[in-house]
Amino acid sequence: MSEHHEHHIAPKSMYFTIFGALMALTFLTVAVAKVDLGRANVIVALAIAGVKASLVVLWFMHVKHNTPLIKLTVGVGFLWLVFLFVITFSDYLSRGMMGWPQNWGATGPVILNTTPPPGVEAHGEGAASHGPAPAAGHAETAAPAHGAPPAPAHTPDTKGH
Amino acid sequence: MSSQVLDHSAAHPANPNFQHQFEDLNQQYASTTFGMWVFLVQEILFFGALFCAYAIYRATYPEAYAAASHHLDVTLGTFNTVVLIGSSLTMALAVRCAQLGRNKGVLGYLFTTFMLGNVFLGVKVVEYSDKFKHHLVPGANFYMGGPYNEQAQIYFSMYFAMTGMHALHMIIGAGLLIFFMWKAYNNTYSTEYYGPIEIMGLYWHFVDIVWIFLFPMLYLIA
Repeated sequence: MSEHHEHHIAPKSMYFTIFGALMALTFLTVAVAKVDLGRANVIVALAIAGVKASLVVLWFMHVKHNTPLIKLTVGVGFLWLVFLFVITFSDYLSRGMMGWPQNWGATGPVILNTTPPPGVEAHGEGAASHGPAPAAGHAETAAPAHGAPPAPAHTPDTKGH
Repeated sequence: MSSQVLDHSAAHPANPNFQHQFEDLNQQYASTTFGMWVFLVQEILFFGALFCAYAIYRATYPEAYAAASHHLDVTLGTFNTVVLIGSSLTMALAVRCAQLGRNKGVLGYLFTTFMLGNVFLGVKVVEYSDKFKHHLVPGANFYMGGPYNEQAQIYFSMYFAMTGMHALHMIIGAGLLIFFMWKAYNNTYSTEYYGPIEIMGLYWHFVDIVWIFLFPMLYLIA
């Protein structure tokens, strides 16, 4: 198994060419992100990143001129990554397809998506009534942290910075 | 056959870096680079799980991700991308010098790589402190405002988990660079023994690739 790795020493110009290509693709991905392509924005961004990663793997990491064992190892690594994504997404993205609750189910974070229901305020007051009188003020300030609306006290604080 | 083995060991009698469990320096090189790649495959899946979690939440809350992403500085992100790809170039050139047995060149390029890595981490410190200042760290004091205030915490949790893990890899890489600079300073590497620099390069390029995906995923969601 001791393959004679020929000391394949690439010329300096090769590294600068790959670097130039990576730079060009970096500015291309920034430029494309400013154009609204709808859903295609994500696909274009991932495609450019994929090309950049391939350039690094093949040329900077010397996989292009390497033993079959190394090529197989790298390929298998990315194959497992594909498995990770395909199997996970076949679950998450298919939820709700058959009329069952969307996203995370009835009591998931979906509730946070809506503007705060009137029940949020009542919940805060209810929590206050549990404690003794001095704690009521504390509970009032703490309550907005659980609900969707931000505490009004935070707003001037944020602007102060 | 046995005479061949004798030949191999006789071929490198003087090289102090030859480890006796290997047949020759070629086999030592092939084994160590293979081992590094196996480690990197594990790293691909480690970061892959983070990207998977990111993607699931992005598919669930696309508007919140877009709103939260506006709080990142694209200019700083682009600058850091350029810096990190530049450091990959100098790392690759360090490996090339090692292949040619030029220890001074290795030392110089590794130092440049180290400095560029520190620039990247410095910019990251500026970005992180900005998030702390503006209440964008998930937790009790989180406040982004707007209709997606709560969901944006998921985005920023992913932001800190992914860039934090990436930065940790950079810090480890910077430490390794110091070690290899010291080795190069002591003229360790030669045309027949440069495997460790090659492996250091593989690690550094891997960290670069992670950022190549992190940058559009976190900064460029318009």
